[in-house]
Amino acid sequence: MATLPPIASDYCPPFAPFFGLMGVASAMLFSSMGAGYGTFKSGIGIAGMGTFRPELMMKALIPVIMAGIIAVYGLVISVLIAGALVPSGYSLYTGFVHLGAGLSVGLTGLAAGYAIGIVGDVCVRGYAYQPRLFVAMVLVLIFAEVLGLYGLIVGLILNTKSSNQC
Amino acid sequence: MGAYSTRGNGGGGYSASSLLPYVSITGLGLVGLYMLLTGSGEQFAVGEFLLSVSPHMWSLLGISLCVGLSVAGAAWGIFITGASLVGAGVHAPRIVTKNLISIIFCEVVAIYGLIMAIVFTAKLSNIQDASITSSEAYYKGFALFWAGLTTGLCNLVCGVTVGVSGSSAALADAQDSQLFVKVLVIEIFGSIIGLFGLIVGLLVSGKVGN
Repeated sequence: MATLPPIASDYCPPFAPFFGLMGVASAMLFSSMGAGYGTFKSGIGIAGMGTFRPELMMKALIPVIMAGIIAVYGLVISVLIAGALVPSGYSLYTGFVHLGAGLSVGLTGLAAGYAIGIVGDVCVRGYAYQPRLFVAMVLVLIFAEVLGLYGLIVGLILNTKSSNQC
Repeated sequence: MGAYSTRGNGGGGYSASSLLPYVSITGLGLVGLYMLLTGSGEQFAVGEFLLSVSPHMWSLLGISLCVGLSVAGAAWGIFITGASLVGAGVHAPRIVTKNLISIIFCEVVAIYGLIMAIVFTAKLSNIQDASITSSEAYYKGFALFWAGLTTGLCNLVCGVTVGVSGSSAALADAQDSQLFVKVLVIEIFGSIIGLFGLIVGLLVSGKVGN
């Protein structure tokens, strides 16, 4: 059995990329969970209201599009972090910075997607009864979407703070 | 006399399954406190654990989780859609052939997982000398683990999303056949989530080399 490499006095230990990769994974996974929940939950409402008012269905697809955008936020940060990963010369500090960036985008995306799903479901059903509710629906959805954007901003700022000094 | 509870704990007790998370967290907290206060807190070493698991284990866990979780997501989506499809087809049998598209969307999620697992398997190499402890070998192990886990879990989420959307499509189609195409758009938005997971998995494993 080969000996393990020394890690006690090393600022760039071999397990540092584990945390950077955990950041990539959490950015993509949690925002996918939020986007998926938003898509299917509002899809249930859209399919339900479509049986009564099929002509309003095209405008009612807005919650689904906004849930897809949450997944794109996660993809952007994942691609950014994955581009910065290297097999050696990757400091533990950078690993944790990337983990923080990924978690911030992911968890905010999960929350935003959850909100978009529930708001989308209820609002499109109300929109079928009262078409003047369209503006209110879009406003509430935008506020929910912006929560994911906050996470993206924090993730981007964190990503610029990484430095690989060993 | 027959109106008393037969559970024997006064009618205010909790079942075992609802108490389990609190009991386990308290137990782990007590173990942690014991280790900390008796001076053996250094034994909880995350880095040592990460390096003591062989890189081969990390990469193979990632590959198996990739295909396993993707197929689990596809299966979940298929049973959700299939149940609604056949249930709605009792009174509207015309919807069956058209709504098989939803089942195929779920199956595609499993294919994504299969393709990614084959791509990752091509990057495996049997390192039996001392370079198994090099940074590159550990990086390959970690990268394949997280790429596989990301792809697998994203496909799991995508499978559930497409499944529930397909179920809504089948039920809407049974009501009014012009609705099918519009609800199919929602399913397409759902399946791009699995595609994003695929992209991230490819990007992460692409940096690994051979």
